[in-house]
Amino acid sequence: MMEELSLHILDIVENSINAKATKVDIEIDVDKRENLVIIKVTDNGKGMDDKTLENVRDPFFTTKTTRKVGLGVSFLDEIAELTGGSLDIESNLGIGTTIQLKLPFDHPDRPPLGDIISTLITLLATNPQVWIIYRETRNGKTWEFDSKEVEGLLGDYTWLGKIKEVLYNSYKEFTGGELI
Amino acid sequence: MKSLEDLKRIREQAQAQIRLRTQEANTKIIVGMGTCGIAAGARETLMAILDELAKRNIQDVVVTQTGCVGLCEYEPLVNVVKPGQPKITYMKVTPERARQIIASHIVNDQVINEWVLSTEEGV
Repeated sequence: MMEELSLHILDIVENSINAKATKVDIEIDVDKRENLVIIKVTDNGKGMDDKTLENVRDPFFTTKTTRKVGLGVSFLDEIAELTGGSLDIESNLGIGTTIQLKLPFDHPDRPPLGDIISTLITLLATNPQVWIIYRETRNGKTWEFDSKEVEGLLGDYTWLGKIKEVLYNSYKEFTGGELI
Repeated sequence: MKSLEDLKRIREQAQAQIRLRTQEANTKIIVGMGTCGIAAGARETLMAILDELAKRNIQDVVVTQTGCVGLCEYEPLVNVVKPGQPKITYMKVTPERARQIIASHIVNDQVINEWVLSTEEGV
C-alpha cells in the first residue's frame, strides 16, 4: 500500500482515465463523530464486465499486457481489511464505475489523506481534457474544486504554478492546517 | 491570490496571453504514472518537472503520462522525446534528478547518460 490516501486516489483516477473517462468525481467525507473517512470516485469510463469486476481485487489479475499483477485495487482492499473498513465497487459497461472506500477515522493503520493538491495538479497537468470535480467535506464544511474553472490555463506551466498556489492557500484555509 | 474565486479572474486575465498546449509542441516529457510509478514517487517527480518548467518559463514542452510498462523496479520512469532524436528513458527519477534532466537535457540538449535506462531510435 502507499503512504497517503491521496496517492491511492491518484491511482484510482488514473484507472478511470485509462478506461476513457471524460469526467471524474472525487468525493471525500471526513466525519469524526461517526469515526469515518469515505472516499468515493465516480467515473463515466467504459465500465467493467462481470468477470473483470469479480476479479478486480485479485492482485494477480490485470487487464494490462505489460505485467502479470494488478495492485491498484487490491491495495485499497488491503487497507479496508487492515482497518475494518470496506471497499465497494459498482460498475456498468458503457456507463462507468464507482469505487467507495470507507475507513474508520481513528484506526492507526489508516493512511493519512496526504497531499491532495499535488494529486489534483498532477491530474490537471497530464490530463487537461478530463473534467475533474473534487469535493471534500469535513464535519459539515465543504471545499470544492471544478477543473472547468481553470480550463484553458492548463497548457501553460507558469499558470499551472499559480493555480497550485491558489489551491494550496484555499485548501489550507478550509482545513485550518489540520492534517488527517 | 487566496480563493478559488480568484481563479476565475486569473482565467479572464489570461485568456488573451495564454498559449495552449498543442500536440505540435517540440518536446515531450512522459512520466510513468501506473500504480508502480505512483508508489515509487512519480507524483513528486512530476511536480518537480512542472515547477522547473514554470521557473524557466519553458512552454514548448508537453508533459504527459503513461501507464506501467513492466519495468516497475526502475520507476519513476521519465521519457524525453525531442524531435529528430532518439527517445531517452531515464530511470529512478527523483525530483532532484528531474530538475537536472530539465536543465541538462531539455534546456542544454545534454543527455545524462548515468541515469539512462534505454534509448529508442526512430520515435
